[in-house]
Amino acid sequence: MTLLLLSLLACGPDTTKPGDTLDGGSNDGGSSDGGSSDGGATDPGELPAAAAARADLRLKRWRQLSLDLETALELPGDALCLETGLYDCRDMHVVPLGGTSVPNGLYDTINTVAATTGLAMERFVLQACWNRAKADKALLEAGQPAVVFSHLSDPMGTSATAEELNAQTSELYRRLLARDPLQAELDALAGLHGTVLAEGAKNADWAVLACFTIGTTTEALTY
Amino acid sequence: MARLSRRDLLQAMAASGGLAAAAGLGAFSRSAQGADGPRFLITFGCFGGASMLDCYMPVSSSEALTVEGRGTVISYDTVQPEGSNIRSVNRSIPTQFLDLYRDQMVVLGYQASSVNHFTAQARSVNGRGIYAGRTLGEAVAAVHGASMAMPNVNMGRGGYSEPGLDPTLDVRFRPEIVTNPVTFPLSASGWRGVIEQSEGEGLAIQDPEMMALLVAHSRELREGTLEQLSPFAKTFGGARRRQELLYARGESGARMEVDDLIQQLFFVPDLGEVLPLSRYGLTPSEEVDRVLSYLPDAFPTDVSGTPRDRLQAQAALAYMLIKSGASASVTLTDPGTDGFLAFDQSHQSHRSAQEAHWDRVLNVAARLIELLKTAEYQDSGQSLWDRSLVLFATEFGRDKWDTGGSFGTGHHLNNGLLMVSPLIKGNQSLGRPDPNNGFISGFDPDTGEAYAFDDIAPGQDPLFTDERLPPGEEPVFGTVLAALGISYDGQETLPVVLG
Amino acid sequence: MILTLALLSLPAPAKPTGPGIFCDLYPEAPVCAAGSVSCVMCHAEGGPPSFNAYGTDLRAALPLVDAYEDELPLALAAIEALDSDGDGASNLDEIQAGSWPGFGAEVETECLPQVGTGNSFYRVGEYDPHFAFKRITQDFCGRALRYEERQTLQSSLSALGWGRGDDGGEPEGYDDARQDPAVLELLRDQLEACVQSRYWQEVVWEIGIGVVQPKGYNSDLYILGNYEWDLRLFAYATTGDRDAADLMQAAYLVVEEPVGSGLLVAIDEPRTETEAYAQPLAAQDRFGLITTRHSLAMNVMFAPVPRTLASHWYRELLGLDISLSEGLNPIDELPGVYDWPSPRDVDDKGVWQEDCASCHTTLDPLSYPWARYNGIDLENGTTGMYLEDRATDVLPETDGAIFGLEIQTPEQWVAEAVASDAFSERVVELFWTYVFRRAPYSCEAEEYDALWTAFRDGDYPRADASRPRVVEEMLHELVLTNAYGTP
Repeated sequence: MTLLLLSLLACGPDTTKPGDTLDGGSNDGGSSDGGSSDGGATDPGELPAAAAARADLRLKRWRQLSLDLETALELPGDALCLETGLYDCRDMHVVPLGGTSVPNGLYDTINTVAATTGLAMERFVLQACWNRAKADKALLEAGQPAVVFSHLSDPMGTSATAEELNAQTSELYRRLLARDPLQAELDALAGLHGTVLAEGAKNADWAVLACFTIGTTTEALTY
Repeated sequence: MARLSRRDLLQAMAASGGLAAAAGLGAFSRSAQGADGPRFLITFGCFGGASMLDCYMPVSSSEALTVEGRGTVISYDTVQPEGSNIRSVNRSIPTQFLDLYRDQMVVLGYQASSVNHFTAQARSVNGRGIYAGRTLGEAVAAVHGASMAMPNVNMGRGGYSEPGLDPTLDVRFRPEIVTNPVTFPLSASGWRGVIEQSEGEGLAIQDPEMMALLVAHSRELREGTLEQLSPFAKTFGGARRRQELLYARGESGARMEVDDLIQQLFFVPDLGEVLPLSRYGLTPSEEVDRVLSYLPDAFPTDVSGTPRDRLQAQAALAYMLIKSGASASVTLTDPGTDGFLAFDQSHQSHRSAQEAHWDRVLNVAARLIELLKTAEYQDSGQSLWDRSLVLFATEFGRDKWDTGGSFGTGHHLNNGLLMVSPLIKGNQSLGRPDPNNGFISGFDPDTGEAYAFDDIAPGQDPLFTDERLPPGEEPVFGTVLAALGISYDGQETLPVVLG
Repeated sequence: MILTLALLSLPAPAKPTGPGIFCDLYPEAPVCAAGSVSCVMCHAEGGPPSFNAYGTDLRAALPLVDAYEDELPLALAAIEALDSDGDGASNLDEIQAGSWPGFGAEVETECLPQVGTGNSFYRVGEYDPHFAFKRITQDFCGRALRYEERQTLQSSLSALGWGRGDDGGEPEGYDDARQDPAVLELLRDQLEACVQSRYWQEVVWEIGIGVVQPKGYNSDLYILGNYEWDLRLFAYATTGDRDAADLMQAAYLVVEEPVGSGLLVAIDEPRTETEAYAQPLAAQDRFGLITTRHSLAMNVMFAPVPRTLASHWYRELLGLDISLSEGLNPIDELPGVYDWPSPRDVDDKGVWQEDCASCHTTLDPLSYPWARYNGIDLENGTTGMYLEDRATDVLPETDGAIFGLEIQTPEQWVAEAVASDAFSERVVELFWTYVFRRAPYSCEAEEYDALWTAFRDGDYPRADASRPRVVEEMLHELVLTNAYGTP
């Protein structure tokens, strides 16, 4: 099944050109983890990355997840994630996301991953991405520029240029992962665009899904 | 190119990112480790100390001893229906409960080992660590819940929600904590119910059918490509927590989604402004009406989402979890009429606290049992109740003496507890309350013959070394698991309970 | 002949192809995430040629007849069902779960040596200032560095000679970033800024929740006490330049001023009638968290002998859980009366009996000094107050003991408690566990012990700090540990 899906991704419209890079601006010592190449320099994806033996990561707790999304998507904490539009995710998912609950007499945080932790994190990020998309749509309708989803000239359309896709992908990488995407990552997200549009989605759908996909990588959720 | 069917993509979604790849929908069958299917444990944590002297092992008023300076042994007007081996306080709810479930009830003397709330609560469900440090819930989950989405759910607090200490226990058998049973189902999907449906032309992600496909594509890209590519993933690929997260969403989470638990577990209907499910593309379970009829106060009344009766809401979720095949062990804890002291209000006013809270837990337990009776386990001809055991974990007892007026009582090690199940030999009262000191005695574990504190002077307490005292945490723990078909090295049981 | 035999008996050297073949067979194994497994899958911690238990079994399963590359997959499969390291899990289970089949459970995977080299992004296997700085920001400011901030960080560290990755170089004279005062200053400044953040205030509050275990209502008019006084005291004593001993020794009270600001201020006396109701004790009778209204109401309740009060704080502030037989220092109050040490059983609960006495010979004397502090009084309004005549019928004197030392007063109780190793270790444990979300691994034990002893003594090996029991100074040392800053 995995092979079939991968081949589908490859069958998407060819929206990238070989050697396409993001002009993310160079700086001393190169960019942050992974980064764009600049005219002949090594793509960070090709640099060595030996596995760490210690590799002692921890999951972001709900406050950290919330603060990072608030910063990345420029939304206030209480507008980030509301289940059924009413219940603040920071309360509802507090236990699987590593918090305490005094009203329920739960005084110690869980320090492991609960069965619902992964799903709670996905919900949080998806909600935040969707709320940002709605806010940007309202801005555009008011004649103002979008904050995050600003690179697609036709959000409700069904095609986008490679430059638009790469620019939007890069915007999301910078906001959510504080780095530039690798070329392979640009290609992958462009491939996702082709895939979802083939299912009948629009550019704006892809944008929210891209935000969700990038924002729920383990790189985004652990440290 | 042909579009993949929803089923194909759901399977792919389930398979991608999992360490032990799921074989597809068939992998999530509800059959258990045992040859004849799972058994279910429902634990009612009787928070604060529920005294059996005030329920099913009462001393009759006519027999209770009075000692100057000490008071009168706590006693009641009691009844013992014809054919019943169990005596009850003469009050409506306990007697009705006895009428309904007598042949499946075992009341037994029980000697706790701590009068500290948290410690006693924890020990009542972990048997003082006798089974590798596992709790009852973890032990049941590991045997009967291996293929379930959330095998061990805990709506408790205090020591009742404390995980066990077995480091080799698979993480998915640890307790999954639930703080609000009404809204908990929203935790069972990473995407469903997140995006409101469109009014008019909207996006594909606003259509749940489409969104299922689109999320599957996104996850496939994430787990299959992005999680391999980045320098972060290459550097920290084997990190423990990272692996656990990938497992949680690739295995446990996928299982919950394939089983559609977010909709299977919703026992409340769309409540409009209080819970606008349909606006978010959510359809509650077809069990809603049935749950409402048995547990009418399980529903929230306002936008806080808090149910009218939290214990009823816990019972509703317990039923849904078992009915949907999601869980093998569910723990409930009485939040009490005041929200936290529950039976411990006995400090202030013993009789009224015991009455109020015994009535609460028995009432809700009966409603849950009746619900479980209405549901058939697969096509077995058996109901879910036929395969269940309800344990009333009474924590510890209370002082034995009525000192007059609206007296209060402290904590006491000596007590009894109650089990109800078709899997045990019911209509048994094991041990006897002594009218001379209020202690509940032990019993022969094979014959059930009650011991008597014959040689103890009236008004004197047995020593804690007295062999006639009732069994403690370890044999009770072993017996509950034996009834559920679980054995382990060093297991001690009370054979008379098992029949 | 002997030499030939010796040569023939040498083990086949580990081929460079071995790790790749392993991962071809187990592509889903977590250790194969990068496509090739570390040599210590088969070899001892020091690397080839010596073998660990799994490697030994694997070597025994290799016929050494055909090509190594052909034999290895079969041999790997042949030993899947074994439990080479005897830790109860089969080799295959361990491989699939991401643990090491050649090492018993006591060696955590995080404690295995760094074998692979070559990482342009992280200084794997050594203290990485880039990694540590980002972690400090996430742990103590609660957020990830933004894109621009990362650029700035990289520039700053590169300018100091500490480029990114293990090929990023170091300035001459240093082989560890923590030797460089400029790096230490960078990290210190970031930590100092972050512990002022609202995020960290909320975290400290949350750690306090685990210690205080709030129950009831957060109202000053609640008879059983408003737990927010306790949480404020916890936060105050474990932030800034305060001595954490105030957790048990504070005679002051802590308020938020202005309300809602998050700014905590110590006051000597309640300022209003409501505050006086909320905390009714006179200053001379106050001992930090132990004697707040909430603590006394919830832990003493109606008991003449405050065993739960004593055991709660013994556990929560000293880390000694008597119910798990920790911290037992039996005092035989009835020598010669029984065949075992026994407490006096002053309130006739039967605790003189042998099974009970094993804990109560510690717990009862631990409780006596607190007997004059009232719990709940529903009739006369003395909840949470000090009463000279409380429990005098069962305890005419309140002499007791802690750590096996005889003491007479609550003041002596807390003095011994805060000076103890147990207190310092416990406070460090609270913060370590919150930050790391786990207990220390076996290879971190030495660093952990050094950390809490430094906290106790105010004598830190790396951090520029010198006051005992100041939590924020301990945090400066914590972020400089290998446990913290090694990717």
